[in-house]
Amino acid sequence: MRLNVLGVRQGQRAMVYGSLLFLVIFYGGFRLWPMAYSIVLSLFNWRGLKPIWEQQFVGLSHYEFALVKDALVLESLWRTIVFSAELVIISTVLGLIVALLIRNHRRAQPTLRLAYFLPYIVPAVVSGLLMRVLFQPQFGSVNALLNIIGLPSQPWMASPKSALLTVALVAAWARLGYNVILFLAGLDQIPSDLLDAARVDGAGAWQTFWRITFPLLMPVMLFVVVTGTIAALQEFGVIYAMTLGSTEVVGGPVRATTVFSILLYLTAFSEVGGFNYSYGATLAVILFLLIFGLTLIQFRVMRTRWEY
Amino acid sequence: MASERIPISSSFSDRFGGRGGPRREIAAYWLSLVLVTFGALIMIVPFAFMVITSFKTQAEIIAIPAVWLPSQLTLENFVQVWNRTELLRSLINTAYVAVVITAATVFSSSLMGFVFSKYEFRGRDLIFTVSLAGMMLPFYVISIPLYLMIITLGWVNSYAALIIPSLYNSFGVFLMRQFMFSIPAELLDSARLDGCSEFRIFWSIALPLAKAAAGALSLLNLMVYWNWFFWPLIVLNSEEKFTISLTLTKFMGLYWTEYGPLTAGSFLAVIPIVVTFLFLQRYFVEGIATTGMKG
Repeated sequence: MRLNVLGVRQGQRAMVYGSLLFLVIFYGGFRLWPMAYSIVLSLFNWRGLKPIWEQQFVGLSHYEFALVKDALVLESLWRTIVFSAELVIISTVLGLIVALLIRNHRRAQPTLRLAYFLPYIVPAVVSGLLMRVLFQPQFGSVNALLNIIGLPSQPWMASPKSALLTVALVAAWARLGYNVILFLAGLDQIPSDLLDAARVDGAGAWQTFWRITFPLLMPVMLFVVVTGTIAALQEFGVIYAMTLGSTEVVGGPVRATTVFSILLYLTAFSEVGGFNYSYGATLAVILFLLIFGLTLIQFRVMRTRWEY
Repeated sequence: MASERIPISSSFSDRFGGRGGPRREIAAYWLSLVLVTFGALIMIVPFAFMVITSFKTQAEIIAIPAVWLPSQLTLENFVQVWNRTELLRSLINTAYVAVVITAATVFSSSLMGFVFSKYEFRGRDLIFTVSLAGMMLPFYVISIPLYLMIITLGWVNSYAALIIPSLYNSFGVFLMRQFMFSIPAELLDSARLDGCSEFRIFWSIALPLAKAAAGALSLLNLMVYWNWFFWPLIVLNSEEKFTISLTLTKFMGLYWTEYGPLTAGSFLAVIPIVVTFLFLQRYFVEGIATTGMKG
């Protein structure tokens, strides 16, 4: 075997070519190929499992319809953005506050950290199921607690006005502990001599936080916000479990929680949308572009404002 | 918690800038502990509710005003959920899928991480960069074509549909490669001089040195696949194949006012993954702290 295009050393060939073969089959076959296939699907009116030459080519008209005419898509895009913003802001701000409060309690930290992290570990379906019972408007414990401290009951999932915020709160509850751990790791990396120097110069706690700790946490903040947004745009299990009714239609009441992932599921994989693969693929590509674009914008914004 | 000593002027005052006397510091110390403990209690309320409700009698569950602490404990809810669902089976199914995928991806990610960090060949970094793009692909984008492929391959309602498309893990390769970079080349070369095969070098030298990363990756994958919902929901359709999340949603769709069996089922779904987490958590915290930030 004289043909050695990659210049792999003798003895290492089995490992290198094995890895590349694995990559081609499982990454190429089950990631890249379906990605390309998605784009193809979105350009056709795909029906059943017939080959491509028996399918009707429609060009970009699915995209045009989705982004110009289809109110369902535009509404759910907006809902997805609102939901993600609520989820990311709540879980990032609270995560930072908890990390700042927790880190000086060295001995209690493992226990506290575990309590905050527990919701992140459990299945989303379990979180949704438990929260659905707790947020039940008439008999749920959340309203019972609100009444005890003198606040009125809230409709939560029962009203289209508050349902989206309710699922965002639950998703933020599930995400919070992950952000706490990331912020704790970030805080540990801040050199203590910087903080000492600030103290010697007479800076107060508030000033030290805003002038030193906060700017130095920006890389972690970037990571938390970017990964949090990407995860939020794809949230599915919690919403599914909190809105599943007797009819298998999810994303209610009256579509109030039909975010993009739910719309995609209903379009491509349920009776409601009539298993419309082409339109589902169109939505999937739009979601991908949204995630990709937001990631790029976030990186740029956070880099230009905080680099020094 | 209560026995914790109060650091008079050590780390606490350093971190907070230290203006104000020790009394103010002590107050801030206790206030922050109270706040953060209160927050932790709020976080675990749903689990406390779950555990308590699962042992309550039906009469006390529906009682108005609500009964917070039950006067008697019962296993009735567990018996109910056990009898009405394939619960045990779906727990075993979930464990099977999660363990197989985790074992396979940790092995393949380690091997590829080793190849992409320790071997030199043309196009290595280009190929690696292309493979990283997989981390940017949301699963929804590939779900529809993947489903059509699964139909064509005849894998609907089988675990092949769950396991085989998951065998390559972009993040895993990335993580293991980052870790393997720090393994000194001299160590590997001296093993080569001793006549070790390349696979032996990987398996007996490199992999043990990257144990922390492999542990973190294992835990992460076990969590992801234990909690997996979207894809199993689409490709599995018979109850004896269901994973635990599917069994729970199915049960909830049918009996959604029966809080007792629902919370009992949730309790059983949560135990295995929480116990696993407790055993492996030190890897996870280490892994996040050292590599999470580099993503």
